[in-house]
Amino acid sequence: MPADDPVRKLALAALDADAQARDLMTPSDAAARISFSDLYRYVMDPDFELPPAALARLATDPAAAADLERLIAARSFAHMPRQAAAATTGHVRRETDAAVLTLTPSRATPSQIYLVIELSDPDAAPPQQLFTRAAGGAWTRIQLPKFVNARTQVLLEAGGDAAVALADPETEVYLL
Amino acid sequence: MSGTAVYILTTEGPVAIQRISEEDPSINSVICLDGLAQILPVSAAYDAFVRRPVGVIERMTGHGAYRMDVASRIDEGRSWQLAAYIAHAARLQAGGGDVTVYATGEVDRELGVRPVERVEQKLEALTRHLAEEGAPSGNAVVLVPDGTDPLPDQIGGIRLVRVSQAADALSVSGVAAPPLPAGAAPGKSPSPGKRRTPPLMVLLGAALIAAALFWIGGDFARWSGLTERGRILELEQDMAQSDETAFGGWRAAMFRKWLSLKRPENGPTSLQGALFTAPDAAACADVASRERVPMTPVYEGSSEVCMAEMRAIGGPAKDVMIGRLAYWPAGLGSTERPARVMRGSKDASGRTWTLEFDQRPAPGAALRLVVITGPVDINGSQPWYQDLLSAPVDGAAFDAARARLERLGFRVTALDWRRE
Repeated sequence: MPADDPVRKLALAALDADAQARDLMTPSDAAARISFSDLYRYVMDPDFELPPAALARLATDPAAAADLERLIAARSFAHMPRQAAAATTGHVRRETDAAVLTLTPSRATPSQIYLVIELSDPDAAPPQQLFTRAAGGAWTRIQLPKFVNARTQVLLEAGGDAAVALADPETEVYLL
Repeated sequence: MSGTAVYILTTEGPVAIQRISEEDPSINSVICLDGLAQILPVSAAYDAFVRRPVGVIERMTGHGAYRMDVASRIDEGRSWQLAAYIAHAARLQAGGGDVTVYATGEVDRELGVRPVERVEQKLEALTRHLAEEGAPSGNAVVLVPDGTDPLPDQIGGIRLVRVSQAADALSVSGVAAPPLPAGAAPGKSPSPGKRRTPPLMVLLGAALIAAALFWIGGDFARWSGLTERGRILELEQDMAQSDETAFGGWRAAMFRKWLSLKRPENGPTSLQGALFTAPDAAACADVASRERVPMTPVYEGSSEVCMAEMRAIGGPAKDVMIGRLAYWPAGLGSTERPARVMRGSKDASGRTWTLEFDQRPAPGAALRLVVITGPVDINGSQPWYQDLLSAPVDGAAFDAARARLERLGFRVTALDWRRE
């Protein structure tokens, strides 16, 4: 379905209207929910950013988090579940049938770390985004550069949310 | 980076190469912006410029992954290559003169400098930059490819030199020339100077020994690097390319011999499997009601097979055990691709492949487990799996794929299962 499909827009508007109606019927001190259309755009459009407050709310709003997870899971290229044990060398490796993900600390700049993703099938349509869900429920998203020979590479700040989440064996990872 | 400051000439003005650092060989070389965690899109081209067999930097330094930080963005294209080459060479020499080099040009495999576009605009941008910032202290030189349209002899008081070889560029920049790579054009001698001529035979012998050491050492270092990074297909292709010449074939044969010494004598201690069956399809949904039965090569029972688990146990601790489990619902190799391929997961005793069947095995359905044991995990494309997962174990295609991996230092073990 194309991004500007009018039926899709109408469906998203209807979902938003329903959500707003539900919000109006909830006590006023309850935090406003993140609209489904915003979640949908967050998953489908790499250029669309959720406001920081909305991202923070995702960790405490089980319904919105469940919506987001369903949207991502339904479209994911690969899902990397929680791991059994943590890496001890700083190098992190996760693998599924479809892809292998590694984190390699930068020798040149120890405060930065390389995320490398290699796809098993070089003919597969490559993913464009990576989502992580930490054990505490916080989500992060990384836009992936173009794959060359079924491989792409991103440089992350080692102390940043995404790198910390990826290094945590409790984190689930989705490629989309 | 010694006392040499190197700038890439661009139409937006000169861009300083701030730093070049070695990175882990498992990552691709990158160009980053000003120390930030921001990889510039030109990085893929930089990686190709660095890494052998095509890249020239690994041939010069013996290392295949670098990070180069630049002060401003540089766009696609290859005109940054001459400046990058000079900066890498300058990094190899201790100390060095106080020289500022502004360069544009493409460097080919033979270390020739090729013309690039928009040199005039780049020099105009340099002129503006020098007018605003002032000329650098100490010696400075502007390098452009030979064959460029008529240009002035100097830019803002800095000498402009046309170069056709990277060696010329290094010489003019006061940077010591690194050893010439195999097959490279010798270029001009940067400074003949006075030298004593040794007896011809001694010179010839020394040259032959040096060449032999260089040829052997360079290739072995590159192949060892590919092996360590698990880039086994690239290793195979690189050695095959080397086989095309007599000397190259000899070097490749030596390295294959070395790989064969590293090949594990045995694969896993045992391959075991189990089936999880239920009386009917509905009962498969209830995990508690499934019965676990040992896997034999052929299943003749009438129950639904809900799940299969195969384990590769043991093997030398120093070796890495990897593999694939393929599911063929209509029989081994009956379709272009298996319905499912599982990588398995490493555990304390070896590796386990668990396959929950979406499409339950009917009579004729088959599983093929292939376990590869070797010194490293294999990364990148692995075309040998196509035959290993689909061809009969006693067939020529399987044998050829197995022999291919054994030549590269790995041992292959397979286990078949099918439903009667």
